[in-house]
This record gives sequence, C-alpha cells and structure tokens, in this order.
Amino acid sequence: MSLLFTLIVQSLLSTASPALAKPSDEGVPVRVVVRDDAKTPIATAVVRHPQEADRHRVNAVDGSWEASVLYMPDGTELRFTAGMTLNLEISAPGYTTQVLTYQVRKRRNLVDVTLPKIDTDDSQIEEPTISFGRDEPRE
Amino acid sequence: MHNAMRTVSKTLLFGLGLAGLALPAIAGGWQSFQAAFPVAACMDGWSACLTAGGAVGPGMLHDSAGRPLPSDGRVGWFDLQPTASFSPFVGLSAYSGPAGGAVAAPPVQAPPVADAPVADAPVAAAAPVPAPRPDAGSAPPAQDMSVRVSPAPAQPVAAPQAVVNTTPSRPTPVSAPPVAAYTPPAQPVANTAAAAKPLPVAATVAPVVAPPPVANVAVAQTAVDCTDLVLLEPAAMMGSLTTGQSKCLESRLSSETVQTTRAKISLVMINNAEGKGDKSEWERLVKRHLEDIDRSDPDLCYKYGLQLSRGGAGRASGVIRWADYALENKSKWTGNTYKTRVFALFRMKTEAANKMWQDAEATYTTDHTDENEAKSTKYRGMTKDFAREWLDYAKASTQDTKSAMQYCVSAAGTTAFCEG
Repeated sequence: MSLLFTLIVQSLLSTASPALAKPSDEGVPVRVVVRDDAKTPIATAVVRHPQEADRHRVNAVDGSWEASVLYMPDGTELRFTAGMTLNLEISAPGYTTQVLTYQVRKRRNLVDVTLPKIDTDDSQIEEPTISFGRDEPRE
Repeated sequence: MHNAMRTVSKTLLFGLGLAGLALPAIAGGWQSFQAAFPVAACMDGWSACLTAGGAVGPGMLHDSAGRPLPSDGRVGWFDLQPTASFSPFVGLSAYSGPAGGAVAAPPVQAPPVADAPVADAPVAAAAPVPAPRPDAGSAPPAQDMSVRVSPAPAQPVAAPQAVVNTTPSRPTPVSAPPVAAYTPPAQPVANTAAAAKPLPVAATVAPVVAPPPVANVAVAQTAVDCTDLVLLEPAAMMGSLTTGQSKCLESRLSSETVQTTRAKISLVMINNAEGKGDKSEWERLVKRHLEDIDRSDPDLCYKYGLQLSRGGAGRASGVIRWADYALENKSKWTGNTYKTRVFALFRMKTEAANKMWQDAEATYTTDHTDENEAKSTKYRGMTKDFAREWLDYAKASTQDTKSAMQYCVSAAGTTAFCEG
C-alpha cells in the first residue's frame, strides 16, 4: 500500500516539475512591428539576428514578428531574458535596413520599427543626346 | 598561267584602289559647302524671311567683325553672339494670298512692244531657274526644294519673281516688296506660254510681275525625297519631319541593305520622335534600332535603359540587359562622362533588380510556393551582387556610396557583406 502511494506521489511530482520550470526556461517574448513612413505594415519585411543564418518573415497582414528564443548556427539557443540587450537587423526590399538595439524587459516587449524607403530619385541622372550617324574619318 | 592570272588580278585591284581614292577628290566641289548655304534658312521652312534680328536668306550672314556665317546658324561661331536665326520659336508665316494658293494665279502675258529688236531676245526655260544669290558669289546650285516644301504651305515671302526686262541678257534686280529683305535678282520670263516663241522686247517697259513657279511647287509637295539625310537632320531635331518624309525614310530603311546606312536612317527617325516628344514612338524606334540594326552605341543603350527604368518591374529585365550592353562599350566614354555614366548604369541595374525582388517578395507573401520563393531568392541575390558592384565602383571612383550601401545592406541583410 505504501509502495503504491509512493509511486503515485512520484508520478505526480514528475508531471508537475516541467510545468513549474516552464516560465524560467522559455524566455521573454519580444514582439517587433515593422511599418513604413505612412505607418502601413510592410508585408515583405524580415527580422534577423546578426549571428543568425535564417531570416524571419513578419506577418504579412500586420507586419509583426514575435519570438522568445532564437537558434544560432552552432546549435545554441539564445533565450531572451529580462535585462539582456538584443540586436536585430530589420530589412525589406526597397527599404533602408535598420539595426535595432533593444534592452529586453520583463514583460510587454513591443517594438515599433519604421523603415524609410530608399531614395530612387533619378532626376540627377544625365540623359545623353543621341547624335546622328555621321561617318568618322579614320585617323 | 596561274601566275599571269594573279598578276592581272593584282593590277586590276591596284587600279580599282587608285580609282577609289581618286573619286572623293573628283566629287569634292560645291557639294562640300552645302552647309554654308542652307536652302531653308528660316525656322518656318522658307528660304528667306524677316526676323527680329534682320533679314535671313540662303546667303551668308556676317557677324559683328564681318566674318561670314551660314544663315541658319543660331549663334556666331567666333563670338557666340546670337544671329538673326537665334530664336527657334518662330511660327509659320501668315498666308494672305488667294485660296488655292499660287495655282489660281493667272499666267503672265508679256506685253507686246512695237519698236524693239526682236530676233535675239533670249528666253528662259519653262522651269524657273533659281535666282543667283546676291551675296554668295558663285554659290552652289540650290538643292531640291522638295524636301523642305512639305511643311504647311505658308506665304511665299521671297519667291523668285520673273520679270521681263529691257536687257534680257543681263538680269536686273527688282526692288523688293516690303515683306522680304532678301530679293533675288530678276530673271528672264519663266512662262511656258512665253517660252514657246521669242519675246519682243521694248526699250522701255515696266516690269511685269510673274506668278510664282506654280508647277514646281505642286511637284515638290507630292514628291518627297529623303535621300540626303544630312538635309533632314535639322527638321528631325525639331521633330518636324512630315508624314511623307517619315514614310519615305521607313521605306528606305526596309529596302536598304547597307547596315550603316540603315543605322543613319533609323537615327534620323529616332531624333524626330524625340523632337516631337513622342515617347512611345521613340521607344519603338530605339528598340528596333537596338534589336535589328546596331547596339554598339553606348549612349543609345544607356538612354533606352534609363527610359525603361522609369517603368515598373515588368521592364526591369530590359533595363539590366541594355545597361549591360552599354557597359560593354563604356570605353567609348572618357573622363567625367565615363565616371557618371558607368555609375548611373550600375545604379540602374541595382534598382531594376531591386524592383524584381520587391515584386517577387510581394507575390510570395500572398502565394507561398517554392517557385515564388526561389524567384524571390534569385532576385535578392541579383540585387545584392549588383549593389555590391555599384558600391565598389562608387568607392573606386570616389562617388557617393550612400544609396549603393543601402541597397547592398537591404539585400544582404547584413552590413558585413557590404563593408568587407
């Protein structure tokens, strides 16, 4: 009887321990929202840690990306913890890339990033005059 | 036998070569000075006119120091001062003649005169002869006006006027009407009816004004000649080639077999479209020129690429293509032109690739397929490479690197790739 009781208690403890450990292992979620100058979400934006190989696409609808842990090329995990300084590169085709340096807080980590468009003004480009097809004497 | 044949053929080739060398020397003559005596000196297509700066005619003008200038030159060659033809914004001369033009004018009847020596009176030919220029000495003969007459007929300001004179063998200048500063000297009667028989000439006869050369004008308006491309260049630059002239050039282009001549014809048409401001026609003509005739002119490839770059992503591949052709022949540029054009070509390529990348990314966000992702990756790679090329050239030629760096970092996702 006492053996049965011990087994039940042990099984209860073993199932309960992961639930207790979860908040401290998972990391603090950080949410980044990428918008343009007109405050419109940029659907094609990507977020990337400088040491990371992959780029993370934002949600195409609201331009947001959220994570609490990143996986590095060497197999290590980078968990976001309160107080750590996080570096992220946020880019999108046609927009100037922004490097974000953010100190993670315990909660409510919401970062708004605005990407300015790359200047494509071609008015400075000089247009050549097309000459007529004159024969040039050989020197 | 073979040796004899070789000797003969060598001699023949040598002889032909000598003849070929001699030909330009023989051909050199007044034709070489055509540019100095423009047939249509006035901006509205006429041979003579009054401008704010004075009278303009086919003869030579003179600058403040008395040096001769072609009358269609807009500024002096030596002093760069504006000439009488300076302003190109001259409207057509007003036509105040009868409806139907000169065709309605009655033929001239030479007045019969009683007491005059009759037998040896010279008679002009039925076709009017171009009047000699008073200030051009023995200038070259006037060219075929058919090329120039086709613009809208306006008032003939200084049309040659046939006059019966007391001394037919030596034409006497007639006083000019107030509208024309340049008055060609009078010439013998240009009248078909009068030409049929010798004219009786009196000692004192009032000058009779003959109608303008009707037949010649009519023929000139229907027959369009486009053989002399140099003569068409001014009109092409102003975008004022007539429909007939354009059709004539188009016809010549399709029948011409010599590639260099085709290129020249095509360039006249391209310049005309540009002068008119007709962008779509210009694009069509340039595309044909580059695709079918000649793509060795980096200016034309550059300009066409620049034009395409103002369009959307659908034209971006064309931008890259023609920018590459221009870069192949960039050695034709020198100095600052080389620097700015090559810089601009790298820029065009990068922006074109970026447009394609943006477009592919937008497609991928709505349609997550492997194919769309592969396209996006490919165009991103192109943008990255082109931006890096642009950045390297900008650094090497000490030009602005800001935009190149922005594109490079945007495509690479990291500054490390671009700064290395």
